[in-house]
Amino acid sequence: MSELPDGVIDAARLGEEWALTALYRQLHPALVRFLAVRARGEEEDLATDVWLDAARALPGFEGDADGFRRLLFTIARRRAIDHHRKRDRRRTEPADVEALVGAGDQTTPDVVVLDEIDAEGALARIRAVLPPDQAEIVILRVIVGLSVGEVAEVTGRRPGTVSVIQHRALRRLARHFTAPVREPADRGESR
Amino acid sequence: MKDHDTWSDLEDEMGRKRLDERSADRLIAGLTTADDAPPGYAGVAELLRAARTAPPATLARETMSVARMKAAIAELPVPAPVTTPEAGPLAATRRRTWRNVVRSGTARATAATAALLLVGATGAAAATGTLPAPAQEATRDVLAHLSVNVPAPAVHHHGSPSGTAPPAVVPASGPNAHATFGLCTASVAADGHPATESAIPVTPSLPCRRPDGTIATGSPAGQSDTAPAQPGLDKPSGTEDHSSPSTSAPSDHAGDKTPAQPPPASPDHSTSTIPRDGSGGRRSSTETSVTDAAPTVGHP
Repeated sequence: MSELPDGVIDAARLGEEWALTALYRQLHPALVRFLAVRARGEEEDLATDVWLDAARALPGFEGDADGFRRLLFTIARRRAIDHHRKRDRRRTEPADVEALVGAGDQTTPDVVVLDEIDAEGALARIRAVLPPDQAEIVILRVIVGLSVGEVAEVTGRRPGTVSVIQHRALRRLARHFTAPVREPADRGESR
Repeated sequence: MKDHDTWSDLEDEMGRKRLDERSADRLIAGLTTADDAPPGYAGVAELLRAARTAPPATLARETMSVARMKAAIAELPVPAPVTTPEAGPLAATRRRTWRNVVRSGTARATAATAALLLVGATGAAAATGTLPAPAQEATRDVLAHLSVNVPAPAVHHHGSPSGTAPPAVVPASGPNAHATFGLCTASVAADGHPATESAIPVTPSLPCRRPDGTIATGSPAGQSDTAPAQPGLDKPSGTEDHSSPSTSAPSDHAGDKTPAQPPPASPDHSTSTIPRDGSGGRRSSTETSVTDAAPTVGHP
């Protein structure tokens, strides 16, 4: 959040367009990827609603840019959970293709070899392997960049609980993915 | 074979569980590469590093979302005051609430100066005795406790408080001495007729000073006078003696006067009271008072 100019929150609180745009450009990519954990395929629609809720909360908000980031992702998490509950009440549920692809490989954890992978591919694998609670904590820590304490505040958990969930997520990821075995020359070329 | 795989997996799992807090934080923060990752976590390090990289911009809805946010903020009531320590200069200028103004040193200095001026002005007014009587009395009581003496409030000659006492005699000197005396005597002559009191701007109950220095009261009830006694003074009011020389204008005006009796039931009072004796349309004060007042009160 250090890229945001000083006073951006105060200006956004007054409805200044430049400040709202700066906040949007800074936080929207991470917001969409976070929402995709629980609302795959509808994250953009949910993000629009989350931004609207955050704008309504801005006049009464007291804090800095980091505080607003926590507020935004708290709203996003509640929105995503509500969306997930509504989707659970449906008779049919659209399945995630990537989850179905990895469903048959649960007994052979080390078969997935990471070679060249982009950001979206990595995120899709995290969502496919981890349960939602673990995935959202990994994304909040890795992509959004929150600390353990901030994640605890956003998710409503204790910091110790967040650390435990984070460890479980890393172990689970380690069981599923391994780095490609390359020659030293290949590693140098790849980087 | 299957058991061997199971034992191998278990060993791997146990090896991977040895991930201390610091190594986990470094993995999460992207500070660990595949080369220096803990055993078994090289793939996780690569995965998290890839996930951390910025994806292509997904700002297709930026304009619409920002417009909706702006509209949502505009629909809300007045923004609540905030206490952000990192407020920028823009917010510092716009968010100058009343509480901040009160807290500022400028406001305090202004308030202190105003209070000092108010106290000083009140004290000066009290010292000169120009305050209204209740305020003067209250200020005098307060300052008496501080051993400061201020004059007591002045009392009106009718009993009501006033700043200065009125003169005991209506002065008649200067270029308008005759006119003033005429007004005074007219007022005295009309005393007892309520409608005339508002028509003549002279205090009717005061004795009148003639231009020659003598004083004439000329009460219609025949009150005593400091001037030499005149026979007409003993006559009752409402007669032609109102225009007698002792109670009205001096001799140069006395000849121009019309009788002071009101016209009997004349429908046109104005035409009946205008003098037509070649005096240039000027009426003496005495005749003005009498003729104007009589139709109003229905004088007999």
